[in-house]
Amino acid sequence: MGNNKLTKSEMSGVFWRSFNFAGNYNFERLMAVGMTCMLTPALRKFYKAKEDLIDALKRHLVFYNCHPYLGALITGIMVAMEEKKSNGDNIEDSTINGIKIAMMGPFAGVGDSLFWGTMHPIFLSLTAALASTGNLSGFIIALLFFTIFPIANHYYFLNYGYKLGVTVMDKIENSNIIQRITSGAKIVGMVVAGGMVSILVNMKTTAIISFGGGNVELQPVFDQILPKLLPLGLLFLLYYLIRKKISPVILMLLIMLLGVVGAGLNFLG
Amino acid sequence: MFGKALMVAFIAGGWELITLAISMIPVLSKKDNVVTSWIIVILRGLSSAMSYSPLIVATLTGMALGDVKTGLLVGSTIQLMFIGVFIVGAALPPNPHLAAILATAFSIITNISQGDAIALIIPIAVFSQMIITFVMTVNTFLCHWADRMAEAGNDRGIDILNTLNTSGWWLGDTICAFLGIYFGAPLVAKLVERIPAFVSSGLGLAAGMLPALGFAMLLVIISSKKTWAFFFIGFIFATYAKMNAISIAILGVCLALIIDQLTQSKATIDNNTTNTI
Repeated sequence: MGNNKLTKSEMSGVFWRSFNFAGNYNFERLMAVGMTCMLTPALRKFYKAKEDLIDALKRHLVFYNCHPYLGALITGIMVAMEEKKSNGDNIEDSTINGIKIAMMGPFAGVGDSLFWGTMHPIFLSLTAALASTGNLSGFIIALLFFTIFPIANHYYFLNYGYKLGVTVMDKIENSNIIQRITSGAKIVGMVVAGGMVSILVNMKTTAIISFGGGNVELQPVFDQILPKLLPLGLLFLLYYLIRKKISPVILMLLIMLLGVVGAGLNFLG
Repeated sequence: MFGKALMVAFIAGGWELITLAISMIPVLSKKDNVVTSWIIVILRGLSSAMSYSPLIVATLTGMALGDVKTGLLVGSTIQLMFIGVFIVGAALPPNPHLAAILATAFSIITNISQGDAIALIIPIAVFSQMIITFVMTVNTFLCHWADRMAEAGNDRGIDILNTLNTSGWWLGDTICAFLGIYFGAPLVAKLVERIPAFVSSGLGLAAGMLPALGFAMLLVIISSKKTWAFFFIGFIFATYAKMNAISIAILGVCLALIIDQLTQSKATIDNNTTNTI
């Protein structure tokens, strides 16, 4: 049995490299090189024999894609597993990559709804609202939050993953914690998405329908039914089109076109 | 103009060279220490902030060109436009980073109106996305190079490649910011004169509708038949009770905790019932 253990300095090497997750982000294997690079300080310490190092590097150059923050947790687990393996524990290559693949999907989902869909939009809208009045505090809060928040997340998740290490499989098998967090994050994401659509999306019609002798403005009628009916309708239209595999860029151009046509024919305002 | 273009290019990504230079110390020497690592981490934190929030780069551009207020105003508009537009899964969205910088700089240098500045944003953002797609294609080839280095056991080579690669992402924006300001500013002033008023105001309307796109993209991933009720709870509370983003988030967390407790206690009851039977 070997006695390899990562020192504080070597762990800090993994820590700063965890920010380079998307360095070689590509269409074929997404973050494969990023993951391998993060692990280099650990791998070169654990595997002194060239053969073992080659095996380890090749083991991690496989398809990998996850959320930046929660991905650090997987990186931590990988460091712990490689440590065990190099110390003589019987851990198969397939176990290491199996854990990676089993966790990256759910974690990416949690990260997307919790961080991209909830935390980030809240602070983006908050700071933009402050800045739109010409208030410099909006800028300062944005700078502090979006600098410190990623660092704190990378630090916490990396170290937590390292601590969990190989026990992660038992933890997952013995409790349904991953499912619970995933479904909880989805609920928060759904509630915030609903709120954000109402708060952020602006769409009003200026159309006037004339029938008989009278003119009826349309927007007050919509407001009677449900305020923000148009933003909600737009959301569902976009949702439907994305499900039909229409690319976001085309949708973006369509929205621009809708705005221009709406302003030109004077039915949006 | 040369000096201004250089300053803006530095904000757009030129300063990444500093991070790269410091990163190369542990990479080339194969030795990490805690102090260097933290310096890199803080610099990387700042680059994360710049890529997550267009307001930050817009304000910095405003500071560099001597008009902070325009930076704040243009930045906040772009930030709201792109608030829901984030990378979900592997789908690449248009990127507002370069657009925020150029729109702010053009507003200040050529004195165009804010509405016209917005007209420039979406084309630039789509252009940025094309740069990203191009970089990802190049990266695909570099990925195979990494394979060969792994075959030779060259761990430092992979480390160097990925570190250079990380800084490479900023290269496109840096060059475009420089060229855009140095050559583009007079052109933009002429171009904007020719844009009809209804197009500018129409693009302003589009800016208000755009946030729906990002949330639609997110919903495609996280929604299921059982969770749509929560979407409408959030929507109704924000619409009728005028709750703001933070209170909506707290509401969401409370609902998630309640649902979790309910399902947990149901699971216990189910277990107990099965046991007694």
